[in-house]
Amino acid sequence: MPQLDFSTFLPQIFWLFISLSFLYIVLSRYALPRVSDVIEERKDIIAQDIDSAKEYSAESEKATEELNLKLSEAKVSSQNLINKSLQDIKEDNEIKKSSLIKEINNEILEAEGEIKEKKETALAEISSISENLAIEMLENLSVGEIDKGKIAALSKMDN
Amino acid sequence: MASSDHTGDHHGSGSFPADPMHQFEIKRLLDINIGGFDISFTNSALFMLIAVFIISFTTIISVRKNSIIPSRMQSIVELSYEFVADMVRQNVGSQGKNYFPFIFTLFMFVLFLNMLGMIPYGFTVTSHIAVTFALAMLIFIGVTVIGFVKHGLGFFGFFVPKGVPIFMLPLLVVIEVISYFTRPISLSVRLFANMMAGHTMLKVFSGFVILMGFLGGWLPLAVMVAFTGLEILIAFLQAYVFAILTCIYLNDALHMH
Repeated sequence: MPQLDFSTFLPQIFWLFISLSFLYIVLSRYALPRVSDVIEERKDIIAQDIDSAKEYSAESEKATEELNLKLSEAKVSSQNLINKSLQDIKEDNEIKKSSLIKEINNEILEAEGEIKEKKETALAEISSISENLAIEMLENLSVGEIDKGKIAALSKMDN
Repeated sequence: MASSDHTGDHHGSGSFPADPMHQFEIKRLLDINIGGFDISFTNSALFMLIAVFIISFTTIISVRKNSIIPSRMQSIVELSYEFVADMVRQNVGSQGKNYFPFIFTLFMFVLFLNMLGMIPYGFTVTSHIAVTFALAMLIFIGVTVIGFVKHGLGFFGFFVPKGVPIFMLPLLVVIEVISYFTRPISLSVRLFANMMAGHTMLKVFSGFVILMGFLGGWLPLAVMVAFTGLEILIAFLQAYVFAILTCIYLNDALHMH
């Protein structure tokens, strides 16, 4: 059994400690710190990314809330505006309607007065016209002297 | 005692085509002797250096760019980092952070030594009790020193179980002490025996393939293929067990149960 050949023990153990110490120095001084650095760095970056993602999602939520608030505000104000303008239009119509009615009434009254006046003048004229007409008719018929006073009285009678 | 005594061809059961123990032989590639101490460069040392080279190379190459989005290589290194870091965190707690580089080194070193042994013509460094026991003693002495530095003489309290009737104490203290001092033995023998047994089995079955020839050799070959898969699992598992037991011992020293 070569394992029990004691003459090989010392060289084996010597080289074991040489290689183990060398490996330990290389790994602990150079390799492992760098591996742990990069792992830490990656963890930090991931944590940062998660943080910023959370921040962004909070921001977007806030923005959505603001948007909703503004939307509802705008709805209310537009409803108010519509109501107000409807009211204005109604009032305006009412005012215009009443003034128009007044005007129409005035004009009707005026027209009625005018008609009355014109009727009276027309009636007055009719009597003189019929007088002249009767005189002329009688003259053409040549029945002698015409009693103008009588005719005038006649023409005025039938009113 | 020279290794030439164990050359596989003449050793073992004469007719058996492959000596299963031949693969464990230590071959001196370069004789070095300093101050009377034999520190020859052997095949064992070669494979240790290969493992050290592969681990250092892959980690250094992969962390050189050190990008936030890792390459495949970097991913592997990061995964093993996280794997060992989790193991230390769960078994030792936050105080284990200082010892993480050592546990990582230990785990990767044992894992690569085990895995290199799975490559044909490779050599399994961890199949030698000298190596595993030296590793275990290093851990055992280190952990004990840490225990005494942290708790002073109070660390002896570790051997006195709490809530035990007073007349039972002498017996239990003895048992605790024995179990504490057998730790390096169980730690080293577990790794060494697992690796040696697996490789011996593989070699025995490969011998059967040759013995039984073209007609009968298929069955042991199939067993070998299946066994190779199992061996790879064991190679990983034993490295993991070695590292996790180190964590547990370290935890005992830091927190005293």
